[in-house]
Amino acid sequence: MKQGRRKTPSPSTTRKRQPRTQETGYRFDKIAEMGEDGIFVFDERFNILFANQMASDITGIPKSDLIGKNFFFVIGKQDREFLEGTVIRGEGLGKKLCMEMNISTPQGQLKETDICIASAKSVKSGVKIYAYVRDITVRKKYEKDLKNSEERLRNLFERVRHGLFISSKEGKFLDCNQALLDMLNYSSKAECLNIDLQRDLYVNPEDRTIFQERIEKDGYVNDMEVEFKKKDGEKRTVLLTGYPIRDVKGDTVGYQGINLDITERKRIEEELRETNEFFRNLIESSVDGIIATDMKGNIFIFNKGAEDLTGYSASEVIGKLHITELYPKGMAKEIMRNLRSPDHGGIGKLTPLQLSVLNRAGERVPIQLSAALIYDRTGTEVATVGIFTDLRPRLQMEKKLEETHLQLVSSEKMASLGKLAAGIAHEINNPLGGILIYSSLLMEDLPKEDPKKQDLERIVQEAGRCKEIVKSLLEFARQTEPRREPVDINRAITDGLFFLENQALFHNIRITKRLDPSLPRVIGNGGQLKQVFTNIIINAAEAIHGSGELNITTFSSPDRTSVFVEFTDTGEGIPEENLCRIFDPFFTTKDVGKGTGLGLATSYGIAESHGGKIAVRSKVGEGSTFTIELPVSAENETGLDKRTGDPLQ
Amino acid sequence: MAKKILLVDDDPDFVEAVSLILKSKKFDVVTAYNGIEGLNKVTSEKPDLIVLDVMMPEKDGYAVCKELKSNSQLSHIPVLLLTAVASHVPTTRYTQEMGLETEADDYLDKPVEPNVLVKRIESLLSK
Repeated sequence: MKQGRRKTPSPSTTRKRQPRTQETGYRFDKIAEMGEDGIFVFDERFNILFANQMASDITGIPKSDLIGKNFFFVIGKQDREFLEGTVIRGEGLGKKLCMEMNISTPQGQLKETDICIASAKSVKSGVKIYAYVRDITVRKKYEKDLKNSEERLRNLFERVRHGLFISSKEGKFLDCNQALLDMLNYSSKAECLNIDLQRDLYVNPEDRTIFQERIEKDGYVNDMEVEFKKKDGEKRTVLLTGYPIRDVKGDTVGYQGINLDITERKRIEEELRETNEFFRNLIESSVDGIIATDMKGNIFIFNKGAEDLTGYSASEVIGKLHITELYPKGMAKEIMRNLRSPDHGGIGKLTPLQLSVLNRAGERVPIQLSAALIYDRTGTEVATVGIFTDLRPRLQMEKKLEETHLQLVSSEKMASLGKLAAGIAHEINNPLGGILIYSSLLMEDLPKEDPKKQDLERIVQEAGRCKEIVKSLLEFARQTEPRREPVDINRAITDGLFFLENQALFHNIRITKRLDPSLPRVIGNGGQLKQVFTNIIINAAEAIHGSGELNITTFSSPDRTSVFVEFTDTGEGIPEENLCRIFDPFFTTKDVGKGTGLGLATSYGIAESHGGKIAVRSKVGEGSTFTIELPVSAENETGLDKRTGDPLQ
Repeated sequence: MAKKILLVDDDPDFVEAVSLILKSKKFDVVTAYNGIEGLNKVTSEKPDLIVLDVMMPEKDGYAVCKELKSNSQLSHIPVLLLTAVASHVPTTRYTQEMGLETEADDYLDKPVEPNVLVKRIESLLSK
């Protein structure tokens, strides 16, 4: 319509209308008022002949003031040359000429206008110029705004620090921003727009196909992780987000989107993961138990060491067991108190302290605890961590050391005592022989009824006692004799019993043997071991005082590294105060003259020299059990390495 | 004719005491106080039996016994070894290793009981 209207003042129509201006004036007025354009009609001297209401509105001058005024009065002096040239030289005759022009209104407004002029010449009224003035201030502003906003978008596009792109379906960049150039290390946009995306950009070319397929399927691709090649081939990990560009038919012709370079983020994530892994391994591989709890006492770290120490598995504990359940009553609270006190290594720390924790079976396990409070950045307590060192091996070691020390002292003592005993025995033997010989000579000289004969018999008897003592001393002295060979323990017991069973002492004693036929042989001195068994059997028989039972059992440890011989009697038993002394040399409870107090000491020494030991359990009135443990391997004399293989198997 | 017994022991008191016993049993007794002297006396005295102590200076009883038994002219003379060891502990080194190896004809542990000594001597001589 507007277009058509603008064509209205064509030379032919104006020519037709001109002669009838007066008559048709009214109609023309009406028509002129209907449009949105201001209309002026002026003559060659620019005197305004006609102006419509719109022309008055645009110029801000009342219609009545316009008539007769110079057209330049209305539009100012701008482009006077253009107008004068058009009008005066008649260059625009029969043509419509348009230009944009600013009009200042008397009210001070500056209006942007589009002015079109057409001149017409008639014989009667000469040259008349028609000017159509359209107010384009609003349109101009809109155009300017549009231009500005496009610029802004372009600025945004260029300045976004993530790689933006528009690409063709065929696989070229149509546009990309500086960030993308930087990311891919291209020096110019032209260079970047030239690459083949599938071949030069994607590390895995099929990723582009996947990208395209997904866009077709879903209408977008969001944060697809792909790898891009930089110009120099270096890889970047990118989160690709894209949307299709479609033509009017709705077919995809290209893509636009954003590439988020997450290479650095990935690297940091990986480093973080590795660091975390490292710390996790560090905690996990600690021999010590490491347990961490939140401030409510809920356990959230429970490493392998803690599992071994407590018998709980981490899955049983984390989030399920409260830390107080691992301590004896009240201990957890005291630890917290000490942690917060400055007196135990400083606030938030706990210097190593020995205490017990409760294991899964409810038993106390001796441990050494060092603990710390963990604070967050603001200094708030967030967790506690404790390092638990199992003290059992250390305590065991200390005990063993102590025992070894005692044994060392005792075996040194034994050795010198043995030497002394041997010396004494040899020295005393001959005088004893002398006593025996002279007294028997005397006895033969005396008549049968001589009262002195009794005294002499007593001398012989006492000398006999001395002889027994000396014999025991010698046996005691010989207990460290070195000869070793595989010994059948069952046979040694049977042999020992063979000599004893027929003695009067054993007449009312029922002996039961339960000997393990598969018992491994022990490396040792058979004679000495037999002596040990004989000593214990005789002691048992003597403790029984008449009738009773003696059970002899042999068995081996499940791993067949040790052999056990057990003698259980139903004798009088050993009072507790004597239990620790029965292996001492010269300790005896027998009547004077009945025992030397060397039997068990000798036995103990022999067992010890075989790397074994003798244990005793006894209850007064019920009987005693002597258990002899002997290592199968001779190397095991220290008892430290029980895993040494059995040489006889 | 009384049998001649050579008694070898380094302890003069013991030698004297044993001599008394043996003489009271009507044996001829010659004495020596160490192994070397003992060996000399064997050759010079030609005893019917030797009572030989084990523990002696110079040459001990085992060595003397070994020499005697390796000498075909003297090996027939019975030897009674006197040890300081109880005979009923047969696995001890003295009896098991030495006593048996020495080929002594019998052995007796000290201190010597007169009756036992005489019985053993008589039994060896009667063989």
